[in-house]
Amino acid sequence: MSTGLSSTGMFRAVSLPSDADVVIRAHGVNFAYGVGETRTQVLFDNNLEISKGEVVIMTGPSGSGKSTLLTLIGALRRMQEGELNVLGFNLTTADAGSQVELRKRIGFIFQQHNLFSSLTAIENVRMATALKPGTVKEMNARSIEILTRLGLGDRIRHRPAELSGGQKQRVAIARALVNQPSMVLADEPTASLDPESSQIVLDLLRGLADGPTRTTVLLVTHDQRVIDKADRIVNMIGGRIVTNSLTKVAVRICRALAATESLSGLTEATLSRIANSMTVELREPGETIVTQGEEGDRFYTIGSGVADAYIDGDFDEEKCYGEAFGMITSYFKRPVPATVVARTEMELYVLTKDDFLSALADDQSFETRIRSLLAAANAAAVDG
Amino acid sequence: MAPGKTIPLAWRNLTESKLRLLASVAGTAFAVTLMFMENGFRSAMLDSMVNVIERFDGQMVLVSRTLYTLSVPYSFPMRRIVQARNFPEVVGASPVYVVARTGYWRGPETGKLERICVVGYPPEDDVLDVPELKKHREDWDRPDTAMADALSRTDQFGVFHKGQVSELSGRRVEIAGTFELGVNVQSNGNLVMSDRNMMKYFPNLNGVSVGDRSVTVGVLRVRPGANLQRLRGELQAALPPDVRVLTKAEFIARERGFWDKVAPIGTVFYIGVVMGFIVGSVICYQVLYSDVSNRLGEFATLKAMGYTSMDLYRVVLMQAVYLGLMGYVAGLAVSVVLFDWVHRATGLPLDLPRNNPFIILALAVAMCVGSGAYAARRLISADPAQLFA
Repeated sequence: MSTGLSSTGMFRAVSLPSDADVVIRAHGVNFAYGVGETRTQVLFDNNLEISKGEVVIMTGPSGSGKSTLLTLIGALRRMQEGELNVLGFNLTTADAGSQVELRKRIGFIFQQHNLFSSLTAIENVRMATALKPGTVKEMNARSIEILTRLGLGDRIRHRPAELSGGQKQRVAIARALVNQPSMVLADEPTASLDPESSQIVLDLLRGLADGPTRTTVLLVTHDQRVIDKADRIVNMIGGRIVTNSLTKVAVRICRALAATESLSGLTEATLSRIANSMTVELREPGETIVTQGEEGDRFYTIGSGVADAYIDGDFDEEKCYGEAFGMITSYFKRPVPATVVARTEMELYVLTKDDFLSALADDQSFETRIRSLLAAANAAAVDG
Repeated sequence: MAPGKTIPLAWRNLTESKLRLLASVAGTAFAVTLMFMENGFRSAMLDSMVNVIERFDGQMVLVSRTLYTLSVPYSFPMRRIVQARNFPEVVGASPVYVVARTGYWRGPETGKLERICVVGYPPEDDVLDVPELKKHREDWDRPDTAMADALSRTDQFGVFHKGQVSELSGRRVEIAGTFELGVNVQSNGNLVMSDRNMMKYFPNLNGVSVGDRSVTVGVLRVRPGANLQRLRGELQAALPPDVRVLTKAEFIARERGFWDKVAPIGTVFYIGVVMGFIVGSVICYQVLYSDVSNRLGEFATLKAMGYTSMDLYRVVLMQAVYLGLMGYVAGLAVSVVLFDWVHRATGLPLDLPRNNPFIILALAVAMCVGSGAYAARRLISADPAQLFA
């Protein structure tokens, strides 16, 4: 994996797999629902590469297009525009038969367990083994083994009505994984699971990715516990992949935001959503980052390094890890309040105006916090 | 128990809810019963209309050129029978007189007149292959006697018994014994008497000479091994055109054809069978459609996993076959009970063998499979992409 350069000129932590390992390659993928006047485009020029054995989280607000992209990757929809290659299948030209063949190599986990209420747990799992048949003994052994690994060894003869919500979801996961798929596509797989069960499932998925099959796992989730198990986060907004970052960086951003005084008390989910919108910027010592009195269009949070702040040319304060600076003039109606110059090498996490506005729209608690900061700043200005 | 080679999804889906299964099978059984009964009535009616003809002890018949059904007995002169006897391959020819509309029996207890069908022939000829008639031939050869059909409607005629005395078309008659023949939709009771008695009770059958007697059917017995079609052609060519020569099988087919298609009572019952089929199709469709709808998410998941639409159709069609078979068995059981009850109540020959249970089985399965195929179209809307919504 390497670090890539975004089109805006800022450095981002981007995972770019090597060619040999690429199992998902999307290039210029567009997709629209409806035709004519009712046509609504939901995906715009998306590019993505994911390699064998990667665990990738897809995030984004509702309607951002992540589910549509997932269904295209899973060959559940026909491609309209662009190129998409999954596990060696060219989905741009694939016929229905090829789509079915590809789906047999993918394990699907949906939010709804969709188990047949008429079948027992093992029979539901055996519905999947029929697609990769063996002897009866072998198929049963395979089913029992995966159910047991998911903590359902004593529930294999139970019907869904006799299982809890979490147990049903684990049966559905067992059904998805029993054929040792080359790829797993999962939609909120841990949503209905208790922490312990979630851990078992996440360990299992991570194990598949790290194991000999090097299964690729693509998850849509808002579960922050998953971040620790993932290699990358792909964030989508408005039908576009806006960030495609290593999760270790995302974790660092989250921690830095959590240390930011003005954002203290916000939930982990909110911080994570903000972090997903941020990009990484590296600065050299002596470099002026923002200049007092100018119109600003971004906020900065310091990930590492130290900077000096000056007001009217006089040293005001030292800024270090977790501290924020910058201004979005068009929103706050004020210029940048201080000039900030890097004293050391710095890693800065940047929220641009567009991402800031979108974060406000997506997260009520973030918006409330910003409004209270704005009110406090206005009051201070009046007092001053 | 560990699962076998394949998971019986269709069976499990159908039998998951016992109450729902009961209602589904009851609905299908209702349609099967309807088809059995309608087909039963149709067969019984057609069979009853040829009941007498089937018992003719002969291979060929002469009938009036104008006769279109035995229930409206047009006649021809007796001399045609004499002419037919002259053919070397005809070893016997007997006249049969049928009075279907003008014979009235007075109930000995009620005094009420009831129309009754009267069949007459020379007792010594054993024209009808009915054991009791052959056995007691001397008894009903006596003047003013008749044999009564024990299967006649008892609510109209009471119970016939030997020695019973009453009135037939205004003349005293004594019941010499009983036999079993059966009623039909045109007649609720039957009497058999000698040709001599027939002339006495229905003098309009008589002519100025024996050769002028009005015969309804001439029953011909032919030499064993004779070519019936060739003989029929030769007889038809030799006899005047006021008679038609038919083999017994042709006569039966004509009579059945008339009631089946011309009358058209058979068609009415046939429509009843079709209605039963349609009702059953609607019931099966509702059952299967609602089951598919309830499991749409599950079927969509199977599609996502790599099952083809044809795989899923197969599940629904198997479910339809099971439903058809279960409904058939239940409907068959109900129909057997109803056949017996209707037979007792009406005297119509309703029973299972003559109702061709295999055709009803085929119809029941076809009905459910057709409905299943139509209901399975719902699977098209099982879009796995929606599962990620």
